Amino acid sequence: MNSIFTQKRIIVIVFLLVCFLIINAFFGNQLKDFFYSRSEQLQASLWDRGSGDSFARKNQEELNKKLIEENQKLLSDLAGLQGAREENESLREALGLNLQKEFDLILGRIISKDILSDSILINIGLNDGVKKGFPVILSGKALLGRVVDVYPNYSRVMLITDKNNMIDVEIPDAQSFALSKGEGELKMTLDMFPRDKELKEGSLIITSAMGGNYPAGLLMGKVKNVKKLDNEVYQKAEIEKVFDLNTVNNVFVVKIAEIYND
Amino acid sequence: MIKEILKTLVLLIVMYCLFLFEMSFLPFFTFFSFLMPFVVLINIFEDPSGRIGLFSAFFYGLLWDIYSSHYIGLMALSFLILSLLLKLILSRYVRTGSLSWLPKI
Repeated sequence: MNSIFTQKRIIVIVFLLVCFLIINAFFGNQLKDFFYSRSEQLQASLWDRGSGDSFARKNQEELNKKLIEENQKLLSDLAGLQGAREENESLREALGLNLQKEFDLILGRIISKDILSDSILINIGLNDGVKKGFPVILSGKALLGRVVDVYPNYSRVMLITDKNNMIDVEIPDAQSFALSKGEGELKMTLDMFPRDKELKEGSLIITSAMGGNYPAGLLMGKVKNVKKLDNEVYQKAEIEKVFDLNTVNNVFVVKIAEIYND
Repeated sequence: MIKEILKTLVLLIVMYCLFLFEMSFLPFFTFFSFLMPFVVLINIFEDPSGRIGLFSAFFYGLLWDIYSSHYIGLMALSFLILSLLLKLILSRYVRTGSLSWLPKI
């Protein structure tokens, strides 16, 4: 016992503990930002190589990326049209207002992904106007996640597939609401879908404004493997996500006016 | 003394490079961290009196803290204490052949 936990080692641990407490209390974020800025170039280059640039697949990847973006946009448009067209028109007529607001976006770039959790680091932060809780989307209005930590020049984004992420969603096909739960390892499931309604394979899932964290109408994914068990009150399903992180380099942070749950 | 500091610095630089590689390149191929088992193996096979396992566990934890949303030092100290406990268990209750060729710090 004495040869491993020597008095000297215990003193070093206590000293380190005090140092870390001081660092976290006064300049934890600045220190992280410093390390991110030093390694950004190398990490961005590694990310590019990992996403296919160095494997002689550039053209295929670019084409694939374009098709995925186009698909996301089309699916998003379709989802928006299915659920809310009539309602929107009648409301616009009634109020004389244009409710279709353009998003205020900030362009960012992915630098790295945490290997043990579903979170990524992007190269925009407090100095660019990013705040904790802002949603992060892709070019096709597909939801990627939301900002959970902001440093002066960088931000950490928790992906929608992270285990801590639960999002209120809407399934326009079924005219019903449900809950999307992150499962980790880039997977997520649909839960709390009413048993008495029909949940179809391939139905589009979009964000609902009920939770308050995300703007309504952002594309989440498609319904897959519906499970309707006799002994359960709600139906469950898997969610097929619409983005492939391997082909994503650029993301958009959406500036929203109010963040309710942060 | 200078030699020891140099060895520690080399270890830190190697771990830093491997960690960046793991964070920015490997997510495309695996969900698994290859550095963590590497650190555990060093601690298991190193001579209990050696310190390279302790340093590698501390550096790995520290890098993980910096490049994640944890508080700085949380994983660094946890891994350091776990490494010490592992060494204690190994020295008291387990007989393994230690890797004598591992450089000592």
